[in-house]
Amino acid sequence: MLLEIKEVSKIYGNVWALKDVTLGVGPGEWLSIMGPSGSGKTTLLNIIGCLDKPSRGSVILDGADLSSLNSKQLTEVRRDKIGLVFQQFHLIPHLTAVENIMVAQYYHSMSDKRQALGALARVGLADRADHFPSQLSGGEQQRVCVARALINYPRLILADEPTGNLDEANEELILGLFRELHAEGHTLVVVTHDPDIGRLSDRQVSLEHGFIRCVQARSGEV
Amino acid sequence: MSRYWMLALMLTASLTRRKSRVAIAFAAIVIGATITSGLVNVYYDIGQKMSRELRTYGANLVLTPSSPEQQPYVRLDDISSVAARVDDVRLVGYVPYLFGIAELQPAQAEGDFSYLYRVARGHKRELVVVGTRFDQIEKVSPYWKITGGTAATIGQEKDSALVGEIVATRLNIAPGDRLTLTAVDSARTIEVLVGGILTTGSDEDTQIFVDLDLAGDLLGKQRVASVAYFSVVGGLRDLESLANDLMTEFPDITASPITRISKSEGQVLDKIMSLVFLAVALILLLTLLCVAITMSNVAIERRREIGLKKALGARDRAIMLEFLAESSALGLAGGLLGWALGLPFAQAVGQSIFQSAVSIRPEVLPLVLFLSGFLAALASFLPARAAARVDPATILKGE
Repeated sequence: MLLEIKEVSKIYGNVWALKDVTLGVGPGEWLSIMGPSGSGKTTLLNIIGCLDKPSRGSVILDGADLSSLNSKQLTEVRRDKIGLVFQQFHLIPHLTAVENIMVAQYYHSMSDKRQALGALARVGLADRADHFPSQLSGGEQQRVCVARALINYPRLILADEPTGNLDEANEELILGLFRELHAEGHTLVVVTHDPDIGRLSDRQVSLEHGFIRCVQARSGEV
Repeated sequence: MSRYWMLALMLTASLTRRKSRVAIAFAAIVIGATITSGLVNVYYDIGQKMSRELRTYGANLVLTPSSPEQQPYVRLDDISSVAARVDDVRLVGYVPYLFGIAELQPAQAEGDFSYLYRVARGHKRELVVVGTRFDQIEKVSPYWKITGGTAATIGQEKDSALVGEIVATRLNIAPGDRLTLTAVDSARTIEVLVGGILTTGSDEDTQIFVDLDLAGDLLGKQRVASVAYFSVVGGLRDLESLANDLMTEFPDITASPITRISKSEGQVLDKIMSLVFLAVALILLLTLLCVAITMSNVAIERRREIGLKKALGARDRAIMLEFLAESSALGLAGGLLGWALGLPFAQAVGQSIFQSAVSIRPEVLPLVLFLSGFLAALASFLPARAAARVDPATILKGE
């Protein structure tokens, strides 16, 4: 397993955002986490993404037990092993597309413009490298965000509602991109409301009130 | 691409490509640096300017013979050497005086001579003749009031004389009159043409001033002076130090600062400098506060961007470094612009207060750059720490 979540709970005061969640993600697997608002999807994503720590249980990513790490070590794991794709893209508005990708390289190790341009070409945006986010469509911005997530060769790509802010045409483009990444062997964990994404993934996990309600494999097995 | 290059790219992009509140901090720094640059330039120059201004009160250093019993006169060569020894920038002027007693010949001997010659010699027509360099009078004693011409124009004629107001009144002497003076000791005689009447309100009003060489001929004392007055830019301490140096180098003379002028000059300077220092300190404090408040707002404004960077793997230290580097760069740029704007500001202050240009000191630039950069970084320290503490999870919550 690349990612093992064992009996993870997250408690805020008297509220259980997650309760005894146990889950595993294998290398190259595409897992979709689905569920209504308030079901604990984002909390789970934050814990997997080293942005939060569980109140109970353990999370093991690529052999490292995240629950025993301090915030500095969590930052290192996030930087080295995780690529993040956001619903709102979160590109830095005063930097060009290629510079936005170079920022991720800068915090990881060293900026390399040629490599960053290669990542943009990989998502079909070679000719938009010097455009600012405001000059790009939503779909293009999300593709830049995907290129940024891929630039440091992460072990795991975490996506939070990656098509939530896109129209149908751009949603298709991004889903095509995710399919390609999956086919190339990338491990994807995607939080989504979108049943199309759920169907494309290897497994869907449905959360409700912090519990796993059901796990459904692509074959339809529950 | 090196890490520093990428950091520089991010800073440049942040400062040049986005409209931000940072502009307010930049404006505050520029204003602070302008006033600091201007006042520090004036501060450096104010000693010289004020001292020159105060030179209108007259000489502040007097040279006399060190052993009057053996050698009652100072050699002109020594006086010239002393003048050469004093830095050109500091020397305003110097004037030698050769005192002697002469008798006015019968044509003008009708008036009242009492008190004109205070050293009683028992002779009614005797008065004090002073040999001097007329071209130096205006520099050393600019307060002398002369009717009939200026000291310099009067001095153009070798046989011209400047007659003290009391002498002129008592003896009915007017510009254009010819006077014949005979030395009491040697019976040598000179004839002079009255070029102007002098009013000082002091002893000079009872004396007759003639060219130094002519007085030397009359009194039989060539190339010497009884005393020399120097007008030198500097406070009491400077003058005391100069006087000591001069007495070591020229054993035949005694150099004494005229303390009543030098001391008050020093006090005025100290007060003005304290005022300038206080003004600069207050301006810098206000700049510090303005930058600190603005950068705190900037930190809040950029929470999402900072959260993103942290989500991408930026450590707290990297975020702080970026914030401080940006504000320091802002401080240096603002300092440079402020320094440049401070130059005309300094000139305006110089013109309005001293009616003269303020000389530009190159050492003010690094000082202003250091102060601006340091203050901007200092003001941004707490905002930078707050920025570094932004929770990266906020980026996933869509906040």
